[in-house]
Amino acid sequence: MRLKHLLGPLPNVSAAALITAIFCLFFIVLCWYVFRRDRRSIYEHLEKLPFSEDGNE
Amino acid sequence: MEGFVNKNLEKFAYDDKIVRYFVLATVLWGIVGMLAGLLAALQLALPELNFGLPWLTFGRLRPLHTNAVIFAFAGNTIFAGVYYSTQRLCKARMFSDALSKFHFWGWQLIIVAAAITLLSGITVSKEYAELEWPIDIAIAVVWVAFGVNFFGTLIRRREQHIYVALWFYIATIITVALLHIVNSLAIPVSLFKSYSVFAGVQDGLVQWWYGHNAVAFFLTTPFLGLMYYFMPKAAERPVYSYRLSIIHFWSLIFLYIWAGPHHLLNTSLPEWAQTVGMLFSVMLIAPSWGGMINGLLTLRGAWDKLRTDAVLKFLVVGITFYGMATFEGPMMSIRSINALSHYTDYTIGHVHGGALGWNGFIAFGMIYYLMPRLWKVPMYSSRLMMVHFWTATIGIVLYITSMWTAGVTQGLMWREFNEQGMLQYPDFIETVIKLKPFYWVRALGGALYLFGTLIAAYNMVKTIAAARAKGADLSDTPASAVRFSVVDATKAQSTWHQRLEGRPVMFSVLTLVAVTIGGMVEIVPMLAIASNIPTIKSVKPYTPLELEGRDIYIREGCYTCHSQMVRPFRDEVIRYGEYSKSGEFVYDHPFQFGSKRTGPDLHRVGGKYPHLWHYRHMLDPTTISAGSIMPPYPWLFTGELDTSTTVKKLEVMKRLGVPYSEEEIRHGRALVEAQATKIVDELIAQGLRREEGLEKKEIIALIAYLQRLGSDIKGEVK
Repeated sequence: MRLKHLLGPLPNVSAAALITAIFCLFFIVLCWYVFRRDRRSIYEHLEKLPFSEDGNE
Repeated sequence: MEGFVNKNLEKFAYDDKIVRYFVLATVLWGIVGMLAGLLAALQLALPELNFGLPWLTFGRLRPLHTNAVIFAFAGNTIFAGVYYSTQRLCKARMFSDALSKFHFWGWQLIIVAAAITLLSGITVSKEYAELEWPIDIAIAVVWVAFGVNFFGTLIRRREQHIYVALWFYIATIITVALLHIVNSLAIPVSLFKSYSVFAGVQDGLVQWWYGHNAVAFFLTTPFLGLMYYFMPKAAERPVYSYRLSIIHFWSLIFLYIWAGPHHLLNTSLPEWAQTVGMLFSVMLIAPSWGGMINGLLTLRGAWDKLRTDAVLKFLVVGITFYGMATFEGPMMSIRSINALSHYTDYTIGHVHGGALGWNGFIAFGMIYYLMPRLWKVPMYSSRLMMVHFWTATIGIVLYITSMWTAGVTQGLMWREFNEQGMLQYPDFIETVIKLKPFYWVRALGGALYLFGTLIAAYNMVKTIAAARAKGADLSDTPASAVRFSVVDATKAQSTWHQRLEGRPVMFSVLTLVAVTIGGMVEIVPMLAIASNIPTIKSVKPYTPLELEGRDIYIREGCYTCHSQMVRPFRDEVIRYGEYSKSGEFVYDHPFQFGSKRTGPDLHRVGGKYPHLWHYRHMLDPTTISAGSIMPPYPWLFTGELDTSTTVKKLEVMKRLGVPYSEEEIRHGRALVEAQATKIVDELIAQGLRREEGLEKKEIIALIAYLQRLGSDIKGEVK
């Protein structure tokens, strides 16, 4: 069964395609920005925040 | 203000007392909610277990169960975890002790009010939003207090960066407020009765935009926040990928909001809205599993800890159930799969895998982590924690496998045709009888899960007793921290997201934008574009008597077992009649589509049976359908219909756009009496013995409503 039959008819294929493309592009750009190698040390600091209290308790 | 130019070490103390209160409330309400669920589950196998009491029928008990486990059990879990982790991540005591206490006591009072009103039949009948308008207002007030307390703590924080757990708390607080306010919009008739401003399919869309996002932003995002804090703490290692958490957060909160229409697939909701809901539901697998991967792989290199650490057992298995539920849900959101699963017990299996597995296990993992730290003594018994874990896990497995099997059985039996092209199981009761063994297994699974919770409660009581015996110092935990400098922060190298994290107000605004888009795109066109709901000229408003009967239907919670939505499938059209059109529901404030068929669909029941059939059926369903699990409703035959608010009801409906004439409104009570007398005369003609005052009884109103259902278009169907 074709995917189109499973999903049902779309009222305006070109609008749906455009919205999907925009969201995919945004997602790809976000992934690229977040996973850039030069930010690694900053994130290593952030992920340790829950442990920064441990000296106080 | 965000930050001060001040480098002195500041001493303060965390408010642990409020966390203790929320932890204790969590377990107390967990037991109450699960007991209600167990009783409801047993009633499906043994309807006598309502003991003939109106307050204990399944229709009233089920909303008590869902509200108790979602808002009382999961709610107090969230608040316990949020108050504990927020203070420590911000390195600041909660903004206001007074607001903390107001939040705690206000929430518990709301729960008590919910229990009393729901069992009394005071309900709006919108799932997970059943509470009437005075309690809705109380919820909003308490939620605002919580929000002020939380955001006040963020703004007063000593740690510059807002850790990922706090983003999820921000999204929760903002989105729940939005969902609650919009879905609760109603016009009051009296202190205990109101009508939704939305009607029919529009109400259905708003309700399930709310309903699915109650799952998303009350049962998922805050628990993800708890996962991002408590999992690293319990595993003693940082989260697997902070960068993945950024992707996870933004894609999750954006996508989730759109998923609501997957509760209305193959209904009379316009197809474009169904398709949008389906597409976004399927896409939701990605961020959901991103979060699951992030949580599970936090334990990388330390999986051996699982063997002996009960806290990690609960957290890891909880996250695993999250992964299972967030794969199963998107699959169920595909139209063709939903055609089989919708209205069946498969949905119940799916819900409880998530609720018992994800929410329950994260709650207990967190509680077992917190107990020693809050009461300053080790847990009374590690062995009991393990017994709890295994008992609850076996309980979940029994629960979900029985419901999956029951659901597939139901779905297949409903749609099966014989060689002659007729329904193989034309009588709905045939499927009900087939499912009874599965209901017993489900009840056993639920009982085991409750037993595990009772073990946890015992363990906690003994732990607290040990703390008292030891004279443990339960004063607030002291802490100290240097307040961050906004000057230094801006000088430091940082990403745009880090700068965003340092600005909670801007972060909150962007979160609000992200969660608003989906609702706007789905709901605004449904409200604004008339062609979404084609007008059917023959559809007329309910008569005053039918409206009163409808309110009895709502009061008794009939929608918990009966749907009113015939789907455009061959088997449904043959079994029930013409499929339901959106234009038939334009005067239904609120909608009554239902989401479960423990009993048959009722949308085309109008005129199908004589009045006397309904009379006898409501008095004792087993005399009409042998093997029926529907309880009898004897109080409808003794209770008199209260018409003191009939005129007010009609006035409110007119305000909501229902075209009652002034004359109809003015003579509302007289019209009730006239139609009731006519129905009684017809009952007598059908063989019922005349009884003094029968026309004043509630059963007559209910019969009037049931006989009206789906009858508006019968003359038009070719």
